[in-house]
Amino acid sequence: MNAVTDLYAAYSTLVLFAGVAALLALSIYVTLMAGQLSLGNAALATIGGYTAAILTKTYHAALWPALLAGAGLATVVAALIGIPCLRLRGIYLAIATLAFGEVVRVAALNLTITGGALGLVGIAPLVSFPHVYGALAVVAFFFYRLERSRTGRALAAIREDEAAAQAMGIRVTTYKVLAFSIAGFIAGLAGGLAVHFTYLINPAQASFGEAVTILTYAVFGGTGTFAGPILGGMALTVLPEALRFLKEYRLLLDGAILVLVTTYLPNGVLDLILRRRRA
Amino acid sequence: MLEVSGLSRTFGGLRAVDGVSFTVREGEIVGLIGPNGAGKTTLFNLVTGFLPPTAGRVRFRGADITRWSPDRVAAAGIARTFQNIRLFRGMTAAENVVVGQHVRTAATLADAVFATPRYRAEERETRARARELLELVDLADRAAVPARALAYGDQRRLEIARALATQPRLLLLDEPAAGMNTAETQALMTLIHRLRDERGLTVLLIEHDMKLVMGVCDRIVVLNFGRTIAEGAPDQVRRDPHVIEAYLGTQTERLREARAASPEAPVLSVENVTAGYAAGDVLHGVSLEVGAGQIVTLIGANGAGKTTLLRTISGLVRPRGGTIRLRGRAVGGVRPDRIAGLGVAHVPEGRQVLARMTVLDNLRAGSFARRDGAVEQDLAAMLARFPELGERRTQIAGTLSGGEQQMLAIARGLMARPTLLMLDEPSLGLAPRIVARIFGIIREVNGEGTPILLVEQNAQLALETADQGYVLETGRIVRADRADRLLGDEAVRRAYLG
Amino acid sequence: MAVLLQQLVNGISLGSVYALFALGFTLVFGVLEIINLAHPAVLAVGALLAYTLLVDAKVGLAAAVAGACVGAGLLGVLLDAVAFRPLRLRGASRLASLITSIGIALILVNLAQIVWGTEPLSYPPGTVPLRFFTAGPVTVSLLQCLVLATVVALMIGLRLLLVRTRLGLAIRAVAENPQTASLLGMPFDRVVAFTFFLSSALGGVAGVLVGMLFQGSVSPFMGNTYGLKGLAAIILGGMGDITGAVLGGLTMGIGEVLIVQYLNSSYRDAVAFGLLFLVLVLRPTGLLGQQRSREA
Repeated sequence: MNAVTDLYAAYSTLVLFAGVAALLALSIYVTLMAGQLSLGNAALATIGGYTAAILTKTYHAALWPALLAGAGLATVVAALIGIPCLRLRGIYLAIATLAFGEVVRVAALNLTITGGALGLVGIAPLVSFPHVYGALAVVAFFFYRLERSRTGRALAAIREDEAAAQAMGIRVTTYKVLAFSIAGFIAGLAGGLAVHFTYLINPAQASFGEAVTILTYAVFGGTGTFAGPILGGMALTVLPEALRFLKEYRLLLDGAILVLVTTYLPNGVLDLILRRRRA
Repeated sequence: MLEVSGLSRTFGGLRAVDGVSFTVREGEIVGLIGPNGAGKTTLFNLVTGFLPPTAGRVRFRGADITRWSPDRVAAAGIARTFQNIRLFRGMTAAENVVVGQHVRTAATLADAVFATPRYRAEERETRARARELLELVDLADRAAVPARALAYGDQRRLEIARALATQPRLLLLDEPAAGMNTAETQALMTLIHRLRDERGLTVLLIEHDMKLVMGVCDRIVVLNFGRTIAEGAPDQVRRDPHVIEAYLGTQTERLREARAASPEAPVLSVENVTAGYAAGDVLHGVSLEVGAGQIVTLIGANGAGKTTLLRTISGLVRPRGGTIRLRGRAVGGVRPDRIAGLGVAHVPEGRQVLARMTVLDNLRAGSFARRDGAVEQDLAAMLARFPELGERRTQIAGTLSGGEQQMLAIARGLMARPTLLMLDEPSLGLAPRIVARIFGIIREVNGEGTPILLVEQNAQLALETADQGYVLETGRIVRADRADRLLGDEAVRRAYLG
Repeated sequence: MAVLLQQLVNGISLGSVYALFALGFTLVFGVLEIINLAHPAVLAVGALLAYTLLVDAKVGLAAAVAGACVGAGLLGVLLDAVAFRPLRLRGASRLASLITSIGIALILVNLAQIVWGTEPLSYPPGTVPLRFFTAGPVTVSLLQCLVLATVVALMIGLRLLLVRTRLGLAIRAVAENPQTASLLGMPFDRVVAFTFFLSSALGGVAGVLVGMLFQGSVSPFMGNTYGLKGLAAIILGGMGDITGAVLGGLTMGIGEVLIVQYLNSSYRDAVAFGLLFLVLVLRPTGLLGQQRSREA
């Protein structure tokens, strides 16, 4: 028993990171469900993180209200971004969300309330395993039910063929904004959780690199079902640590994963595993 | 039930739909027919909210639905299928039909998350309804098959089932029988009747298959160049001289001396070719030949496969069976740019000039595959031969008129000094005077020795111009003879008008 | 007023480099309708190649630029063959190409790190003699003149290539209508490969020019900011439109310089991207771009 707790203590942060990564991957997954590639989730997570951190640090708020406030703000911002982006598709949407991300990063870099370039430090250690994995379990359950619901089917229809979906009476605009909002909530929540076990937050977390990393989680795991992004997020958080000796090649590995998975495993790793099982 | 008045839609200078008015009464089955490019699908898009009209109104059951969005139109009770099938390809047949019920169901996300009784009841109901609708279209045994894996005819029927799932009062079908064989078309006719008789649906359908149209419709509206040219009962319409002219063209008296096939080996030999697209085969064992110096025409109704055959010859489509020989050399499956290099010039449907480039650049592009040095000379000669192009040599091709663009496309093809010139519907969308000019050019060019394979919907004109004719019907050659002999042939008329 | 004029001069000089870089994006987008997000990494590699040529091989500036140009171009061809072409053959979505290009960018940057290290490098001082020309209130450096001259020369060369040569005709035809271009005998894959060469060559030169304009700016990571700015330039000017790319680049350059001068410089990037967001939302085809119809 001691060995396990020792092991856990050594790797606890990593395990928590894996949980947060899974949440972030799910946040990009929900917009992908509607056929939209949004690269703004790192920025949304940062908004959630800063809000929660400011609330607990400066206003001594309790954890869950702070987390929910952060997630709530991120949701509102996501919806506000989602509405003008309704007509954008594919690459245009990706770039628009990227631009949004940059605006958030620069804002965080310059506002006093966010502590400028250094960000905020000394945030209370309020989050541990039950918080992160409890949240992940709830969110995963939510996706499980979403995929079996009328709403989930509407999102899938929009992804497959927006015009045909409209001809079936599906109000595409409503569902797209809904997807964006859900993404905002999950990302904001993830950001808030992360802040409280890393004890710091800074603007770099809203950068293009971070946004790409989240995309990698989803691509790697596969976007057929919600389990894919969870797998992707966790695997891609743990793997680099396991391969820590390859630290110098971190970017190369990430890049190689993206290229190889996109070219040879278009449905992600989860699909590969499932197919092997069936065979 | 549906009232369309003065509906118009213009795209730039083109009047795709021009002041169309008609009504569809409750319980009627109305057919909307017309040659290629007449504006039929555009009309559907206007009625269902996919395109806003530039003038006119649409009323449905008394309400003015003119600028409503497609989802609102669907909620009001109009459902449609699409000309090029827009199923949710990754979903199974059953899932497609379930999604179709979206607009008539109400379970919210909260219901789903907490698995409320309402959610569970609705899920049961939607699945049951889906099964019922799939049985209606005879797809019940394929309910779990992904839509993209279904046969073409099955996909069309699935689209109908999905549309029915929205519980419409009016059903708009866009070419529901395209790609179906006789048995399937018969089943479709029965289905449409059942929909009206048993479910009280009103149906408006676009179709090229005249057997279906004549057999199932109470009334027919005929469109050409965006305008209604006839309306009435099937038999009436079939005999209407305007309609016949629109489809078959008018007899002009200028027959030419049919040139017999020369004893040399044919320039083009298509032997038993089967080809098509992912959705299914369009051509089934087609054979034809173009002899040296001949004009051969391929005629047939829309959807028969004429364009697919040209695309198979020029390499844009890979044949699945059979052989294609160019001057004796097999070229099936070869890349299109290589086939162009062998001297085949394909002037595609819709002309496809390089709209953002100048006339000169378009002509030069035509000579791309040539390696000899006479290109500039030919260019000068071409501009002299087509004075309209010569005058506009630095004009951007996209700003030319339809007739000028057609001339440019042909001239571009000629710049390759082709061993075979293939023309796909050169008369499409052009006024009669311009068409006469174009066909004059076609004769001239052939007179200089270039063999031509001409695909045309205007059968009269094509047969008057050509030496040899082939009639294509649902992917099969049904008649092949000297063009002048085909001219008065009933088979030709039937292939078009049923 | 004098300040404004001076800043305009600076802005044009900077903007011309952005324009050159944006041209690379636009060329590839024109033929393939994909955004190659590895382009910024190619810019960095070009700058680093020139560094090696100048510092280790001790060649002259012109040779270094030429070397970077050709080296980057060949890299582009390699990328197409290895990453993009397999996706084309599979009929993959444009999203897949976008993601792959991101992956390639990461790989290139990491490789560049391994070869050249992570510290920012500078071209040897005196590579371009420090000379200034004054005309009234405006001072222009020799360097700025050289940069502008290089960019102008390359653009004229590109224009001549596209308009006067057979290859250029093929590129334009393929960009407009790949199927019809095939029917006219133009070999799609070869045209694409050459377009990648051109695009990356221009990107490489842009990298060298940036390195020359800003001391201490040559590093494997230098592509990042230019990447987003290049994207902004082509979106402003309309994707796939060559003149648009040039105008977009100049606008970005002049705009950036003026914002730094007259507004808070730390908000510089935010203003740029805020504008980009607005342009995308209000007029997705850019200020000059063609309306691409989206019908049912």
